[in-house]
Amino acid sequence: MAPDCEDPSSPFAGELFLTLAAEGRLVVDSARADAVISGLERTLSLARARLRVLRIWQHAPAQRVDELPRELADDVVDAVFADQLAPGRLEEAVTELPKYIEAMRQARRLVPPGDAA
Amino acid sequence: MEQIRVALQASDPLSQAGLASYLQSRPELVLVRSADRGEAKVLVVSCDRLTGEVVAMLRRSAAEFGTPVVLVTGEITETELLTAVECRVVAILPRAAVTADRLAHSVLAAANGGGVMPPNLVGELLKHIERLQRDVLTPNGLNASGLTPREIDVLRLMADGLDTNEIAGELCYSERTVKNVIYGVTHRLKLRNRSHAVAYALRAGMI
Repeated sequence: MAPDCEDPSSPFAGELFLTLAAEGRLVVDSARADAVISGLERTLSLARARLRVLRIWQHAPAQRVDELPRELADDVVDAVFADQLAPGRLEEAVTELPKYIEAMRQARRLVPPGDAA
Repeated sequence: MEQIRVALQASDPLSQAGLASYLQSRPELVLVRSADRGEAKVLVVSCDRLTGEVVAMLRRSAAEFGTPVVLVTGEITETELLTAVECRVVAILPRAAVTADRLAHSVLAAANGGGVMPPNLVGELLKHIERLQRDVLTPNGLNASGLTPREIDVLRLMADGLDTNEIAGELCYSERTVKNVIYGVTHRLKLRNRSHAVAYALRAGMI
């Protein structure tokens, strides 16, 4: 059964990947799946960290970049600017990336190494 | 030899006639009438673009029959690819490159694949995942290696043999900032020391 249509304006398709994996249509050899999972987990971790920075900044009583340590200031500027360009993208990533990770785990389980893509 | 029943739907009469002749030229394939589409083991759909009308037809077909689809199309975007996959498309053939042999090969693979997508289509889906990660990370000044541009600058100079003081001078940072950057990257990526950090960056192709 195909998933319900995801938001057409969103670049994410986590539900589709979960469906493909659950139905056994998406099959990936274990080495490749592990590499993809590892990359996705790293991206998720970075997205969560950046989202934390963004939230701290949004809840700061006085939003003054020049009062922040330089290491943090650069991250805040990057995070705020990225959020202005694509509002909500990080939140969406933090919700959607785990679906891709789970889909790849399921896709990996379905095939012994070397048997498929 | 058991023949594979194939249904065909093309957006224009010329494509319908051409693809039908390709399919009928193969003894292992048998073309079913449109009304008997439910009996087909594979559906071949031909269109210039994946329009809303084509997608609606594919969705209906997927919901009603769940038949694997071989799509012959002029062009397809990444978003359309995901939609196509959702609608049980298991092979995509560029319209300009379709031959009787290629079409038959795709139809046979679709019929015998048990619904599993072929490696090239899986490869396209994995490219979507790669692009998605770049789209999330790049605007935030990050990349999939887990290193920020500033960390890459510091690691590159470390790899060149510069000490903390020299790196600070080169990048116009304070020594403390350089130390913080190095501490941050080693701590976050669970690296043992500076050499390990440089090796990590080299292996990741970042420096």
